[in-house]
Amino acid sequence: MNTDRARLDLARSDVYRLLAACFYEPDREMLLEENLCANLAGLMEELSIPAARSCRRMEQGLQENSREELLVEYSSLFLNPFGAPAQPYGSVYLDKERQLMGDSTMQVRKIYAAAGVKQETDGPPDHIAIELEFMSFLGQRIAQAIACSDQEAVAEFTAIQACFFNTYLASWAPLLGRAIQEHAELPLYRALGDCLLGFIGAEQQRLRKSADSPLHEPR
Amino acid sequence: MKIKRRDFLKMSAATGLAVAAFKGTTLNALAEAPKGTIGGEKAGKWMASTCQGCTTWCPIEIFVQEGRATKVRGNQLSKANDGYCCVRGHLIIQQIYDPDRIKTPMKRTNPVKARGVDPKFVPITWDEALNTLADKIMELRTNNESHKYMLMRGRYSYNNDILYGNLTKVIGSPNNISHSAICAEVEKMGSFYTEGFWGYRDYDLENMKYLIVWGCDPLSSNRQIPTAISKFGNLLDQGTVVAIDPRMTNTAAKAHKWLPVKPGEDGALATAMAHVILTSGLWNKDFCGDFKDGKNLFKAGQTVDEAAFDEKRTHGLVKWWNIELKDRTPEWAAKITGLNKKDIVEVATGFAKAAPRCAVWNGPNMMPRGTYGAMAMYALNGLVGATDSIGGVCTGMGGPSSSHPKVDDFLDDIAKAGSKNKKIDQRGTLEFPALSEGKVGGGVVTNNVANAILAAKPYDIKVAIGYFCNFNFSGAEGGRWDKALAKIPFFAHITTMASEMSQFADIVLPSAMHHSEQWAPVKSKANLHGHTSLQQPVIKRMFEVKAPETEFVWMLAEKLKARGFENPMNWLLSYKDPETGKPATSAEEFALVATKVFTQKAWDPAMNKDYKGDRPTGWADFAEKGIVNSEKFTFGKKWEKGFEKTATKKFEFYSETLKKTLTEHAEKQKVTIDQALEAINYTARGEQAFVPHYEPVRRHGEVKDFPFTLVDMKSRLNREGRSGNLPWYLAFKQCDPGDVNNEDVLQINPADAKKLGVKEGDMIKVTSTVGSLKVRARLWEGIQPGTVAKCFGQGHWAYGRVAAKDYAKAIPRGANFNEIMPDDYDRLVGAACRNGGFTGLKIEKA
Repeated sequence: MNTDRARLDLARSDVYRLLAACFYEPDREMLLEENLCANLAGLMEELSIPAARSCRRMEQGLQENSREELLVEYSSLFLNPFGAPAQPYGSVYLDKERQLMGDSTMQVRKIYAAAGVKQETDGPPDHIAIELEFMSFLGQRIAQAIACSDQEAVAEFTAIQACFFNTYLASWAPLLGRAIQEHAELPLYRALGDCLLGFIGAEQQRLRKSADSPLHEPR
Repeated sequence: MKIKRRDFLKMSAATGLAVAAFKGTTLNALAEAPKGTIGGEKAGKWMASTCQGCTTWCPIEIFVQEGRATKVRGNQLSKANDGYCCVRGHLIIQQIYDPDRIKTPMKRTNPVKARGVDPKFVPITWDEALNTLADKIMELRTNNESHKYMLMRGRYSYNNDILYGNLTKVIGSPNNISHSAICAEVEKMGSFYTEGFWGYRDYDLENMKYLIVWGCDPLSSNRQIPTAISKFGNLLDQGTVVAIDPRMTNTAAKAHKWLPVKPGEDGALATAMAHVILTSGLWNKDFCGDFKDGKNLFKAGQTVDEAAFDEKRTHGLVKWWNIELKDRTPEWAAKITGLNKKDIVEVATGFAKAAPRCAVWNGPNMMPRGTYGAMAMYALNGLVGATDSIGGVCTGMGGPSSSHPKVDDFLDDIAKAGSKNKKIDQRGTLEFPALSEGKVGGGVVTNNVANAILAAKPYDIKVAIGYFCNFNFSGAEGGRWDKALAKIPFFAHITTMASEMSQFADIVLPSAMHHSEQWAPVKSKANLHGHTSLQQPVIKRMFEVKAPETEFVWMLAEKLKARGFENPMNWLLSYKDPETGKPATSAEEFALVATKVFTQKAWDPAMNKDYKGDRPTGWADFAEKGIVNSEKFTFGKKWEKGFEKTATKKFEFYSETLKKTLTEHAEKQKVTIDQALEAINYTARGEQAFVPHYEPVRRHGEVKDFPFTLVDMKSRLNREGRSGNLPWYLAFKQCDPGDVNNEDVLQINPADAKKLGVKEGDMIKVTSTVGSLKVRARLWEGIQPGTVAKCFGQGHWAYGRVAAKDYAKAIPRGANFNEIMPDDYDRLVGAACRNGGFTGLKIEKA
């Protein structure tokens, strides 16, 4: 039982991590060599999350377009200095002024610290890739705690994960997903939007019930 | 953002992280760290820096918590602002955290350079960007075309000597092009060709009894806003304030009297006021002198014998009267200005009676033929002896500084030869005398650079860099810049935001924010004190931004050195940290070392021991405080010692200084002075050319076809055109009298609107001789019938998600009226126009 749960937690952690990887500048060859989309599809199937098809479309998109085409699309969606239609930062969706480094960003940074990680890269900590990576980290910690039968750690990281997800990531990732769907022109990114929405939607179902403790007081 | 580790893409099972053998985590952006606590807010700290949201250059403090800026206030030690900043300072927070900031160097992938065509920028490394740029520069030098390199400077710090001045020389080009001539150069002509002062004046508001605010709005914009705001209440109580402006400014709204002069007719009003002061016998006898027999011979229409007057500290008062003033009666001026005679007389006499505790605080006057009006306005300060008098106007104080190391030892033959070429802006020609500071071709003709590039006259530009500037947006008829920049084969733009100018860049480079992410020195003055203040990297940089004037230059010099061109790096290594004696070893260190070198006089106890202002105990103390205030200005030195920069060493009503410069220009061009003036559209002939006088408005568009006259205004929220993407800019727009929140409007008098059948909020089509725009109408009594006012700042078709309505289609939010202001100049100085009724408009319901 515990092993099964740990396996699922680890699979989920992998989904978060591989999804996070999709929000970096697309290194087409590396993504292909590592079978990222196929692995993602497999994990979705294993977790019974209806996002496997979008992962396969991502795979096709990766094959179809050149590295430069993908980079132009990535830049246009997420980095476009004339106004990126899919802003990858949480505070742009969550804070009243829709700026970077809002109060929500600072809260996110504190949650990372409380969970025992710090950001190593530049930029605001509420970038979608980093928040997804954080969820992945928590998933691994949960799996590890289960494997070690450390119930206290399981409870602690599960609570952090649920609270972080519900209060932060899930509050804005669907908006980002829809923005990507609306503005992406290449199949890879259109499908990434679908995939993000599908996965976050499934996670909302799973974690809704766990969201019983307020975020600022994780155990 | 790049994936640093391939492991990040692997499945847990594949990395041996199967549950049974679980050992750790696979992270990319995150790393494990000791657990912290969520807790409350950590203590923050006020950190000193300097705001350059306008030209006040206010010493400020930014409240920083955990590396994040949260609040802004004036530097508590500043005597220029007494610890307060204006609303612009508060906008800094939104500027720093604008999600549309350029986050990484980018290059275009779409070769088509045009408005409405996405350059399709993609991220590149600084390394790639600088390698490309260095190759382009080396190619120019190899082909003996180093003069075809151009550097365009917008706003700047006192480290600008490095990028703007000296790097351009070391590369071998004469083309360091400043923005100054789209800023406010005409007003400097007023004080220079009367009292020899090329600069912005300071005012003794505390002791003043009568202030005339003329064609500017010190409570809102340029310059020394915080001190103007704080001193204004007392001034209203203890004296008289008059605002002269076609529109109801913030100052006009509070002033005792508002004279809504017709746009550009200020010269008529100023000469008439001088006429009234002279005929009433109210000129300052101590300053100007008096008739030998004590009897006032200044009678309207009558010439006066120069020999009858014994002049003291001024030159040519009687000449001025005879050439210009004798016929400039208030009745005459009333017809031209739209004001009534009684008001003109009342203000002129009230002003003179308060003298010398009074001042004309005149604005930019950026209009065709503007120089003589600026001289006339400023001459009033001389006529009543307000200049250099307690309670009057003065040149103000400077802040202490050292200088940047000389570059002369680092110029090779290519550099020396290249720099000898003519400058691209056509200064010093018959068409553009550009007589700044008494020198023929002494000033830049910024807005003409676009024309010169398009005409390839004197030659073409092949490699250009621009920083802290957006000429396509901020210069009149900015569309010319679109074409000019598209023509330049390689253009790199260093900027915080991708602007209209960046649209034409081959490479955009992310600039540090001046106020919070870089080291730089700034010097300015206000409230009778000068100051030297610091800009500091008070927050943690979020992105790969670099300081343009220092870090960028260092990184480029490294690349040039790698290509065998070592002079730039050798020159930068000649900067030695005053504390350690060592040169910098990195770009970041160089920014700090250069700042320390330039400010050494301000903070080094060995150098500041005799300084009468603040004396920090060393660099650390200076950096902590962020400011050195000068002592207070001492009045009366010019009364005592004379005006050292004028030809006669006196305050000149008959400008021998201008006569000398104009003569030099005419001789160089082999024409008479009259011919020279005719060639640049002035009406003055003969002796009139040397005295402050009335020049009729040079209007583009006949009144019958273009019946309305445009008045350009500035917002108190404008960070020099860089506020357009800030949500607070729109949310608080109504703090500009007559304007509307979340809108960009053209202010039109309700009576005019009624005639046109235009209602509040209607969209209207506005047409000048050079183009049309659509804008929303705002019915507002604060603008005179026949004139309409439009605030600069909105109308971006680029600049971010808020600023532009639809970037892809190049549809702006609001309307940038620079697009329809004709490309004209006050050619004597080379200043581009935006003031003074030179733009006629036709208005129709859209």
